[in-house]
Amino acid sequence: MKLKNEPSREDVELTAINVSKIYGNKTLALDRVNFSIKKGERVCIVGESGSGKTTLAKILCGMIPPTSGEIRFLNKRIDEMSEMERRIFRIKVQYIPQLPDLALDPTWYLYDSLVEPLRIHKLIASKQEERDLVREICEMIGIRMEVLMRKPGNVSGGELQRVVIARAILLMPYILIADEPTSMLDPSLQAKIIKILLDIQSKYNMGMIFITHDLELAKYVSNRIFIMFKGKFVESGLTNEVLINPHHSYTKSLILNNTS
Amino acid sequence: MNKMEIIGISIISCIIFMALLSFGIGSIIDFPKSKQYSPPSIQNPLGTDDLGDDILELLIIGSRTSLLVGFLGALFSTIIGTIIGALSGFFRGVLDDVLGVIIDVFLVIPALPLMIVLAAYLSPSFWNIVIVIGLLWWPTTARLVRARAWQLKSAPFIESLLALGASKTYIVFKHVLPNVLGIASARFILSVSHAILIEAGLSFIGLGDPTNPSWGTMLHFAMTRGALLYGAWWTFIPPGLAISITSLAFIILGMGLEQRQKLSTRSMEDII
Ligand SMILES: Nc1ncnc2c1ncn2[C@@H]1O[C@H](COP(=O)(O)OP(=O)(O)O)[C@@H](O)[C@H]1O
Ligand SMILES: [Mg+2]
Repeated sequence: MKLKNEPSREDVELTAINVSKIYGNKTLALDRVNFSIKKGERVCIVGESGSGKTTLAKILCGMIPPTSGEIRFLNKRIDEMSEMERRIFRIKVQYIPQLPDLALDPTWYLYDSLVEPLRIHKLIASKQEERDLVREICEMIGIRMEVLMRKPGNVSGGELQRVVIARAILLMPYILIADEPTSMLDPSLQAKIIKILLDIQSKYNMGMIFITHDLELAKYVSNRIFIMFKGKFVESGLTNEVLINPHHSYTKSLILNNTS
Repeated sequence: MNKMEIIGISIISCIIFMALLSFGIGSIIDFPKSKQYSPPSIQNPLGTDDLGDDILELLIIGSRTSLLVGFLGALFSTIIGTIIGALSGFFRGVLDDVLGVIIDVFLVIPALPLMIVLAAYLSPSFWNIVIVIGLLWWPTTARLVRARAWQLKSAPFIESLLALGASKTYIVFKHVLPNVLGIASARFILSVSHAILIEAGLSFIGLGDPTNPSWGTMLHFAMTRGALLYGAWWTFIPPGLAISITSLAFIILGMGLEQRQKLSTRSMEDII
């Protein structure tokens, strides 16, 4: 499967340099954060609720601008990109939002929402090609085609989350950011969704950022881990090393809380 | 369907049936003329007016104009209000400031006196009344739609479309408008009720379309031609009741729809 205008690159890197974000002149949500991910990597960002994980994710995918600092993709600042470069960035860095409820338009049929990004960027030549692509992705992710003929209010949380994932995957991103992709689902479904994400990651050699507050999950899915506390990364490194031998007191307390 | 919707729809169906019946007067049904101001009888169940015309016949003919003006005036004002509200709420910025001021100005101007002035200034005709109602009744709808559009702007699916590079015009027409259609239609039904009352008021004071008599026109003639002095209560009670019941039916239906709207969006308001 290949999309039009696809640059085939292996040297993909998404970087945040000294990024800070202040909401409304007072909430310091991110404080001089440095972060990077390459194609093929699995990285986890762990932190308690309100620590700034979603804010970083939204800045990384260009959804909101940082107050200071810069985001670089393919060695280019995203706010200095040409239209062409920006288009590639928008297609190749995808974000799966934290709340699946309003992740898709409640008045649209899921099929139309699913293919909407392809249509916006005119990535598909014909209806037939589009349908084939959808069928292929849905089979891979485990979405029954009849589910796509419904609206978001008439499907289960698990089905909705799969469609949201499929929507991002259809664009064949280099970097996929999943913001607490399973926090709204019951445990039996969580494992399935995580497996789907991991399968996709290895199949297409994507760079995948998992955002979670679950250390067990982080251990299972990631090679590298970033621990976020009050808008700062207090610790980062290889997941195994950080979790076995934490240096920062916050990380230690996280590990304690998780095991108890 | 909830109870309010059922009650509202039942009454409105009867009125619509009445309006349709008006096309059959002279062919399917016939109302005999009688003496001036004859009281209700077997022959004229609701009596006659100063010209000896059957009141039931006039009531049926009047339902057509009252309903149609109400419907079209409400449609017109809802379309204006929805589009202005959606654009203003979604784009914010200068456009919203300007539209916000316009909405506020229209909201503080007492609408009814202005309508009277406008209706008197334009010649009284069916379409002028529709236009006057439409032009002056949109701000409340606009304000509601604007609030919803503003909420929608921070919904994840809109944020992700913006990040994807979708144009704002595309988002407004493809996503914001369909999502405000729920409140817009509830507002529309409530507006029909208002529009019927306004039309009745304008016709009552003689600013109605003389060629398309409505229930308001009946009240107008009852007053100006001495039915009150004559004690002919059957000339003004039926149209008065018809106006009240019809506008009440639309209010009940509109409240039913609004309730459903609240139920279906509660989870959304909790999240945002
Ligand atoms: N749109 C916003 N406006 C103002 N403050 C916000 C906004 N979004 C997030 N915040 C604040 O920024 C901080 C970080 O939030 P967030 O990035 O959502 O954290 P997390 O995803 O780790 O739970 C919190 O204090 C939150 O209240
Ligand atoms: Mg979050």
